[in-house]
Amino acid sequence: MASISIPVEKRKSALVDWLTTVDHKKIGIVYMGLSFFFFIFSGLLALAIRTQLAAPGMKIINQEFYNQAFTMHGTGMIFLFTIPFLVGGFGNYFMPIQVGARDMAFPKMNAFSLWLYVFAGLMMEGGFILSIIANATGWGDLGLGSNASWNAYVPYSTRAFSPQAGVDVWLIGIALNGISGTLGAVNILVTAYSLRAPGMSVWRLPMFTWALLTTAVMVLLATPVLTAGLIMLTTDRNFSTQFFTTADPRMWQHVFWFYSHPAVYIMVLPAMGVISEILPVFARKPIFGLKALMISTALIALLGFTTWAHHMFVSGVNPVVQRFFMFTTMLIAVPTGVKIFNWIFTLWGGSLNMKTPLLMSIGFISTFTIGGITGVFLGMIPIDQQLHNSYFVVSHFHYVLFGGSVFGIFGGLFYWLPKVYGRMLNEKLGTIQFWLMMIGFNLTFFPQYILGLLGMPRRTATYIPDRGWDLYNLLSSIGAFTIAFAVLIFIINFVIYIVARKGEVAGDDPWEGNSLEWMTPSPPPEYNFKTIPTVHSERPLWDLRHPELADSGKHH
Amino acid sequence: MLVPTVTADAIAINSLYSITLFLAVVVFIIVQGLIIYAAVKFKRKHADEIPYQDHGNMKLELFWTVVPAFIVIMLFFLSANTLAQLSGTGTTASPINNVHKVGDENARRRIEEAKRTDVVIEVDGRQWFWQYKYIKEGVRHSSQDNGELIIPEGKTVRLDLQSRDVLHAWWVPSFGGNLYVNPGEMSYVWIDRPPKGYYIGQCNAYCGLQHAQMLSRVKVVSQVEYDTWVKLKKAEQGGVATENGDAQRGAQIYVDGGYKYADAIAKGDKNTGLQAQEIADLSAYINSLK
Repeated sequence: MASISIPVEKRKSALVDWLTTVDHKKIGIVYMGLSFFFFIFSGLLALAIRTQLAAPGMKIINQEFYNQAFTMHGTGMIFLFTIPFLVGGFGNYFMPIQVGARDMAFPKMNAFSLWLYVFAGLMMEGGFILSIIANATGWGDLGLGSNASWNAYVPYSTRAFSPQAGVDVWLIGIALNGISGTLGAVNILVTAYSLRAPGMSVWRLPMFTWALLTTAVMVLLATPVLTAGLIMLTTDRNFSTQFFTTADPRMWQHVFWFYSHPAVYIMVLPAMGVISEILPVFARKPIFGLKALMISTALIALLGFTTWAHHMFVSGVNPVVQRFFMFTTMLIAVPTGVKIFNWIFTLWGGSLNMKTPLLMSIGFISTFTIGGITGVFLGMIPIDQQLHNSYFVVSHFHYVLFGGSVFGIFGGLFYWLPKVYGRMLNEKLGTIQFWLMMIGFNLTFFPQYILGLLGMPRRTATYIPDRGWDLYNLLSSIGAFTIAFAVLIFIINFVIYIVARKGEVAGDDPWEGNSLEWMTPSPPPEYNFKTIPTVHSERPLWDLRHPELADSGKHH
Repeated sequence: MLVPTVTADAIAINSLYSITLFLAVVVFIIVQGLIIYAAVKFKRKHADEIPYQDHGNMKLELFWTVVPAFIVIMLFFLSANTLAQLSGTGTTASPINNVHKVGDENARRRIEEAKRTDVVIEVDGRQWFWQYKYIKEGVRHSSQDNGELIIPEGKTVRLDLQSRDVLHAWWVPSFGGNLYVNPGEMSYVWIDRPPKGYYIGQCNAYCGLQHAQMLSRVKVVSQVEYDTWVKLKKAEQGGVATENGDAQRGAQIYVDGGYKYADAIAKGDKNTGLQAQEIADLSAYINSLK
């Protein structure tokens, strides 16, 4: 009997171990796994949207479901995938190792953040999924989905116009997720402040850690504002408070965008950090203009807090105030441009190892640049008035968030998964995935710029023919399925080469990395480092490999 | 922009857009060119290659800080300049807000003085249609059942927009920018001397279930057609019966589409698709209204 009960005990203990772990690496893995699931789920919703829009007048999904689908696609991708993946996943796993720590400063709070995120994700998506099941099985409309669109603009999101309970569940879910993120930010800041290895001064912080720190500051300052706003909107809906229902119609918009504009940088800065790690490693060169890159990251964060009302150029904001926001918005192009040129000159004169992480990073620079340039268009009030809420905007922010964050995430996955699992992903599949993603992405979103210029508004479940939109919509839909195919290839790659352990053994340092995570075994032991290393430069591992060319002692 | 730009406002926005697009294309070509060149030229040639350890270049970095800063500041001033050219925006020193609370008489007066206007139409945004009320003409109309906003060519039209429920936004791309329509507030959009033609726009602020169906079809017609349409519409709303044969066809010719034929009949065009008797009746009817 004992021989039967032991394996059961063992399996249970592994589960309990994952459920109760306070190890930053395990927490990071759970974050990555779950948020990747939400990426797939929200991506499937995007496919439903693109199928519906492939031709004019389609009725493949009904309008109510369409409206829920774009709401859940947006909130799922932002709150449950991009931010938790980059900050909760990569951040949790790699930041403590990069600074030479053995765990986060508050490991139990870290676990609490994770499970709060899981709970919040279930709340946000659960009602919607139940609604889909109910509709499919003929139980009728449970009213558990939200169709408020991700910005939940008042008064449409108030009880008078959206009485269904689904909106409440969704709002509370996002609020709880915000609390989880805020606690995570505190943890990151305290860890990087107090648990750094000896010798790791500010200018020697790895670029990913620096980006994550900047992000954490933004989360700490911005997220509580949204959380408070969401709670106020929920009490307006349920307990007859009147924070927004009788306020100026722009009040909610200010609260929402005070978070949601910085949120763009919260989503993209860590991905910028990821590629800033990858570029110097794969070029065998130091990052070009380290200080300029670090300062521009901080400047983007700072300016990011002064631009929110550029989302409200057609809302009736005082015109003098609008001009102020136009100025700050356009200014943010400068530190962004500095980053792009510094990245390119990191490649310049290097010895480029054309592996998937580098391909993804180059893809990032290329597509993000287009997103950045079109951001300047939208920062200019007259052009924004013309293109506001059009597909031009949809395309612009996908060039930033898919072209930027998602390419950065896949670059990071190819770069770091060998550290996490000790096996390499397949390069051939990685290269195929990159090119499919690059082609599919541009095919999906470039035609959307044209659609915006042709006057197609976002958030419309269908459109009439004869407006010149048909071809571009069809191309865009074909592109969306191409992206889906590329992601499928990644999953296959992961399952075969990592889960089934068919990949090459990675060893400690497969890429000739620069930062401390490459000093540890793959996967790193629970305590990360036997002895905490002392850091003498921005590239401690380079110095070990190339003592004759060491950075340490140099100042620049 | 890729829609025909037919008003002074749309043309001003389009020229700003074109300048920006030109600069954007230059930046795009430089950046993508550098990326592709670097990716091709600096590929690793052999496994133990160690490139020059270049930590940065202050002069270069200053260059790509200062030049873009100069470009965006220039674009800022160009934008401010364009903004001041648009209808009803006032001057840069003294801008006018084209949105104000209902009942704010001072703001209303500034709007009325901002631009000479020929036709004023009150527009109510509702889930999910627009209602039009021609103030001077005393005519009502709506966007339901593909209803068109009929306006005269070459005249300046002002739309006084209000929402009766949630946020909506007025946008007809060929006429220029869009503007939110808020409950409890007035929003003002000018259509500055549009040429004859048929233009489609639609609600551009997500407003619920049938947001996608909230179209604004605008038909710009000649003054004669417009006057006739107004008279026919007025007669219809005043309760004048449509007689002369088939009542349904009569109603269609006289009211909904009557203005379409007025111009043709006045010019003696024989290809209206109407029967001789219908033309005679319609001419008599139009004359009786004058």
